[in-house]
Parts: sequence; structure tokens; C-alpha cells
Amino acid sequence: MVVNNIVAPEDNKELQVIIRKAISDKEKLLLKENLELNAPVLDEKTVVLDLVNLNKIIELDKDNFTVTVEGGINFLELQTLLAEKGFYFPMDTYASGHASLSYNVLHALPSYSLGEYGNYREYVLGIEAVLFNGDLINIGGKNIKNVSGLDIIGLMIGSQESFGIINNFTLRLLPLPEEKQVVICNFKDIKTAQEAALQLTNKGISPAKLLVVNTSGAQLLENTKITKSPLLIVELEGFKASMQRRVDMLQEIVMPYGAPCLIMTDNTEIKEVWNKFRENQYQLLSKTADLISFSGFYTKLPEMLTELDRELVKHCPAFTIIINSLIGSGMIIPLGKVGSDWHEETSKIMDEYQGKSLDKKSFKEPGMGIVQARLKAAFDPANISFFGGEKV
Amino acid sequence: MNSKQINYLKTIVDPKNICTTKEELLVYEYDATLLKGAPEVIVFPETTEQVSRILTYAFQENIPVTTRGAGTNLSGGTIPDQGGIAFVLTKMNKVLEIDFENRVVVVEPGTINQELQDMLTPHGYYYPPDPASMKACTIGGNVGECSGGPRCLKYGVTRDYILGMEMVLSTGEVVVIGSKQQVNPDPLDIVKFMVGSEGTLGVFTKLFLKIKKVSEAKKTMLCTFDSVKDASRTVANIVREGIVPTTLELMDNLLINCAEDFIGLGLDRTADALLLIEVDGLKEELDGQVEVIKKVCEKNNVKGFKIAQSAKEVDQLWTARRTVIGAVARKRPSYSMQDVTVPRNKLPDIVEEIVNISEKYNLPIGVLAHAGDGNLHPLVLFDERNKEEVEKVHEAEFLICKKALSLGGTLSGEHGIGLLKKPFLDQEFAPEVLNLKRKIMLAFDSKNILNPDKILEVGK
Repeated sequence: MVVNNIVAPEDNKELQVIIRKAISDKEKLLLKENLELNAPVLDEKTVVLDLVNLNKIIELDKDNFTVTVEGGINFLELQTLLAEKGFYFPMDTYASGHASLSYNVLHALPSYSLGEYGNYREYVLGIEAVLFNGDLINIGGKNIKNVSGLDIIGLMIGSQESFGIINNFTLRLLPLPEEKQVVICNFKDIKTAQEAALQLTNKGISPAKLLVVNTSGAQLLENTKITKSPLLIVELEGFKASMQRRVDMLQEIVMPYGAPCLIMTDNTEIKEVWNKFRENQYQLLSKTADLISFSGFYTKLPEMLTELDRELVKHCPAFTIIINSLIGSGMIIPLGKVGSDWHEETSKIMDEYQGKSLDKKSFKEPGMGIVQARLKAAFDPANISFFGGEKV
Repeated sequence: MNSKQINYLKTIVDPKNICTTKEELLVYEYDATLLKGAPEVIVFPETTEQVSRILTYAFQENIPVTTRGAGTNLSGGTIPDQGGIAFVLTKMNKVLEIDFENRVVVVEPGTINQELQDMLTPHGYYYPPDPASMKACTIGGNVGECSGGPRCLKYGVTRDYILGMEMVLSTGEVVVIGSKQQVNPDPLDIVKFMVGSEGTLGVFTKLFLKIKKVSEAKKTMLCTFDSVKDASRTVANIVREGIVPTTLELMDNLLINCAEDFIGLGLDRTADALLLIEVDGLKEELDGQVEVIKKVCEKNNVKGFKIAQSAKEVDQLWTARRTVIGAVARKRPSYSMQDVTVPRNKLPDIVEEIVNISEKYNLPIGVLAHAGDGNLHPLVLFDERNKEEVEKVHEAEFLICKKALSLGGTLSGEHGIGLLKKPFLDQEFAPEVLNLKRKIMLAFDSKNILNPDKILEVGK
């Protein structure tokens, strides 16, 4: 792989200069994080953007609960800094420890807390971005509600570096929850773990995170206290006054399944658990090109997961399944070489249960082809996006 | 439009669903603003296929199409000011599917918001967006405007509850984007981008909505203050204390009196401002939050602090809040409602400016606000028959918008730009952003026939 053209702009103007040069020199651009996660094949005309120098917190507005920050800041570092000051930015992804805020947002990486706290659009109130047409634009601000014309911020989120690079964000913050507990329960199979998860979502407990993993996924936690079996991982957060009842309600649900639970109340221990989980998931993802992301209906997930867990082993001896049960979406990460029928078999099972494979490739809505090509041309007329070119 | 074109439309929809008389056209030339513009024909489609065939024809013939539901729009977005077709979707009003277990509902765009809520409530579910006009407004209109409502502070706006949609493009092509599942399969979220596009990018024919379980308990508080500034400061301080209420609504003295005249609840007519605050969640959580809110209120010189003691009392308070807009008719025959948003801590500044503007133009202006969101709805009261006064209303509203922008605010929090705020848009956005928006609109609608030149001038 040729990686001899990494540039790290010092400020927004410099980023604009780099992008304008790419337009005039017909170079392709992509963010550095892709080198680890997406293993792209680069040539000497590809410019790799490293936002490491754009990492400043510009303003923490305690009255309005907003933070204005440069996009190169490490996601996890930002969350830690905010938490120290009593603020909460609830998005939390497998790449939190490795990737910049810009990368996480531009790729709309799935947050573990997506179901309870919503998606990035609810938190990104303002942006400064350099579009791939060379314009530096400012949109939004500190306003929680804004419907002044079309939602360009929303369009940029998840655009996978096809439209431009967001280099500045104003984010909505929440008050730091009073208390946090993590409950990890061992189930005999993935079906019952997912059934319990579904019941939890209907109970009004409102977990911040609700994950189910298969036996192989239990290794993501590397915790000697946890038996290796399919797991239900629940993070509860909120007011102290209701915490005990939430835990009681949870235990009431898992009890009929005979699932033993480990309850963590210590914040340091909780932090370590998530650090391990994220880091291990990230490492797995960086080693595979055969990841399958999917979504399904809550009611069909238990059966669908059971069949995936049972049948896919014929095509890959070991794989990790992680489901964000709050939104019915997950990943299957192979731990070795997959057979030629890996993708086909997965699609077949998903079709049977009306599941959907979440293709990372953008611009694929049927019937939207011309619209999407025109959209792309509006933002990136010279087609300098490394990814955009392949997708239209 | 000529008679040949109108006759062709009659081959697509039942002729009884086409109106062309002067009297009928008159009914569809306005919305909830002061603006007017008559269509040349009114069409009530009943199926996606009819929507598709009409748009195919309109595209071919370059006929403007202004889509609308109940016409409660507050930015002139549904005024057919370029003539053509008023495309009224109120006959596409079926709730097609309610799936409680998967928490998804499929509706046609003409479904009335309140009617959907009434179907969900007995099962312990609700659809969070709750605009004040919810008894009349349609879900399709809510999606077109990205409507909010009092519950937005904690639960978000319409954008956060749309999972997918069936929509017809300007060319007549039917597309389905998103899905009934909780995650959009495409990271590039065109579904959410459609929300708030004000009928300029496509016509929605089915909408997939996310619903939520009703919280176990809630507490509603009524707090009165001798100064709007104290009430505004209270709003910012409550959130700073770690509490995100479900609602945090503000009404000033003028509106308190309008509500009291109308509903007679015994509200304190002498108070300068009132806050209606609600918290929800598990029952154990609420007393602690109420206690903190009470302390914050006391710190900011609260005059009266009352917790609603019964469901009936809660209903009465919300009826007062939801009907106050209509209740102002007792003061003056006409009103114009603004919709600006400012950062929460700038509420006192904008309220002060509104008071100054009211005095300068000798126009009564009531302040109603989703204060927790910093979203204000100043209600300018006047007499539409007095042309001089109407001019003053326009000037006053321009100054309110200008002040909001100078405070780092935005022209619209939940009503959209439409025609009303189009002239101010270049004060909020740089030319390159407006150009980009223009290109995006043309990407969807190359002939600019869908709600043409709303939000901004697009051209062909």
C-alpha cells in the first residue's frame, strides 16, 4: 500500500487549501482512520487527511449545554474531558478510542446507546465544513431546534466523506447521569438472551445500552468473572432514586431464564469493561473485510440470530455476533477466513426473517439514482472523494 | 392551466376529487399566515398511483404543484402562489399498520396527528411530536415542516421519529427510502433529510413512524414569576441542575390573561410570566426532580409554585396552553405568530427586545415559548383590515428575526421558511450555502415544479 501523502492541516484555512489543491490536481481524498478500518487500496495521487492537529475544544458553554470543538479531537478523549466537567455526550462507538469526532460523525458509526439517546443529528447543532467543491461553510449554531431551509447538517452526517470534511462541531450536551450500573447476564443461548432483551425494552427501564453477544462475543470482555456464553449486557443510567428498581425489574425478567448476572456499580470498573469491549471490537473489525452489518424486527431477531449462529459456522469456524437490541441492529464479525458462501448464506437467512443487510456503500436507494448522482455533483463536482467515486 | 390539462387530471382521479370553481379555489388560497395565492385547480388524490400519475403529468407540462394537508402551516409554505395544482392529501388519511411490538406505525400522510395519538394511547404508546395544532394538522404536514411541540425538549422533533417513507419524486417515480426497522440501512440519511423539506423535494405517500411507550409517571408544575427575565433564567438553570424536563413552556402576562379569559382556570393574572414544567419517568425519580426545580424557581424569585394534583388539573393546564393561540382573538381580530429560536441563555435578551418592539410599534405582542428549546412564538396582535397596522406587523417581525439572528439564533425552530421568511434567509446563510441548497433542490426536482420557489428562489 502506498501511503506517502499524509497531510495534517493546522487550521481550517489550511484544510480548505488542501481540498482546493486536490480539486485542481484531480487527487482523491480520504481520512486517515480509513487506513485501519477500511483497508483501501491507495495510489500516489491519493491524499490522506490526518485531522490530528485540529483537536481543540473551542468553547464549553455551560449555560446552553453545548461544546464547540474541532473535528480532529479523539472521540473518547472528548467524552472523558466533558465528563470531568459534569457534561455528557452520549454517543459511544467501537472506534471511540481510535477515531476522530469527524470520522465517527461522517461515517455515522453506530453508537451503543443509539436506541436510548438517538442519533448524531440530535447532537450536532452546528458545523463548519470544507466541501469537496472547495467552499468553507458554516451552518447552525447553539440552537436545539432549527428548520431554516434544508437540513444540510443531516445530509453531511453519514455521508462517508463523499461530500466534504466537517472540521468544527457545535454539539448538544446532556447532564451527566447521577448513577450508572452495568449488568451482565449469562444465557444458555443467543435466542433467550435476545428474548430477554426484547422484554426489557418493553418494561420502561430505558437502558442506555442493551447489547447481546454470542459465545464468541463474550471474549470481547476478557473478564475472568464472566463465564463464556451468550451475554446480555445492560447499562443502566439515570437518577439514583430509581436505580434499584430498574435493577430489580431486570433481574425479574432474566430470572425465568436461569441467567446468572454480574452487577457492576463501580464507575472505574464500568469504564474498564467498556474500554475492553470497544477496543476488542475495533481490533476485530480492523482485521476483517467480511463484516456483515444488519438490522431486523425486534420480534423476529431471536429466531434470526439463532439461525445465523447455527448455520454460519458451516462457512466460518468462529465469528462474533454483536446486537444492539435497542434498535434491532448488529454485526457479524468473522474471526478467520470465510467460505465462499458466507455472504450468500447470511442474506438467505436474513431474507427469511425480513432482516436487512446494511450495506456500507452509500447512494443505493432504488429509484434515487439520478437524484443521488446530482446530489454528489453538487457537493463534489470534481469527484475528489476517495469513496464517492465508487458509489455513484 | 388550460381546460385540456384540467380535463386530463379528471382521467386520473375521480372528477369529484377535482375542484375548479372560484369559491372552491378561494378556500385553498391561504394557510395559517396572512399570505394568499390562489391555485388553478384543487386535486384530492386517494392513492399513491394517482399521486404518481399526476406528478408525471405535471412534470411533463411544467405545472406547479403545491402539496398540503390541513393547511395549518405557519410560514406560507402551502400557499399556491404560482397557481397550478393545490395537491391536498387529506383523503389519504388511513393508519395502515400499528405494530406495537416492533414500535412502528405506517400511516398515509393525511392522517391527523391527534387521531393517531388516540389510537395509541389506550395501548400505552404515543407518537412524541405534538404540535399545538395536533387536533387538525396532518402527519404529512408535520414531516414536511419537521414539526416540534412542547415535548421536543426531552423527546426530540419529527425528524427523530421518521424511520422511512414511500415518496413520489417530481418525475412521478415512486421510491421507498428507509424501512420499518429502527435503523436506516443507508448511513447517508436521505429519510431524515426529507423531513423539513417543506414539500419541495417529493410528495410523501406513506410514512413509517417510530412510537414510544408512555412513561410510568409524570408531574406537572405551574410556576409564576413577576418578571419574564426571572422565568427565563429559571429555564437555563433547571437544565444546568441536571434535569431535562419533558416540557418547559413559557407564557407572558398578555397570554396568561388571554388564557384566563378563555378558560378561567384561576391563573394569576398579575404574573408577568408563567412556566409550565413537566417531568416524566419512573415514579421514584420524580419527587427529587420536582424538589430541585422548586429550589431553582425559588432562587429566581418565583411568585407561585404549584404541582398539579390530579389528571384533570394537568389536562386543564395543557388545555390552557394549547388553546391560548386561539384565545388571543378576544384581544384583537388578527394575529401573526413568529417562530425564532435562540440559544437558551439568550431568552431574556430576545424577550426584552420583543417588549421594546411592541412599545415602538404600539402593537401588543404576546410571548409564548418552548423555553427549554429557546424556541419562541411571539404573537403579534393587530387588525388585518388596518393596512397601516399590517405594515407595522411586518416591520416588527423583521426586527424580531434580526434580533434572533444577532443573538446566534435561527429564523425557524419548527415552522419552516416557506414564503414568509424567504426574504430573510440570506441573513442567516452565506451565498455559497444558499447556492448549495438551490443545487440540492434541483437535484430532486430539476424543473422546480414542487412547491416552487418556497424556502428560496430556485429557478429552472
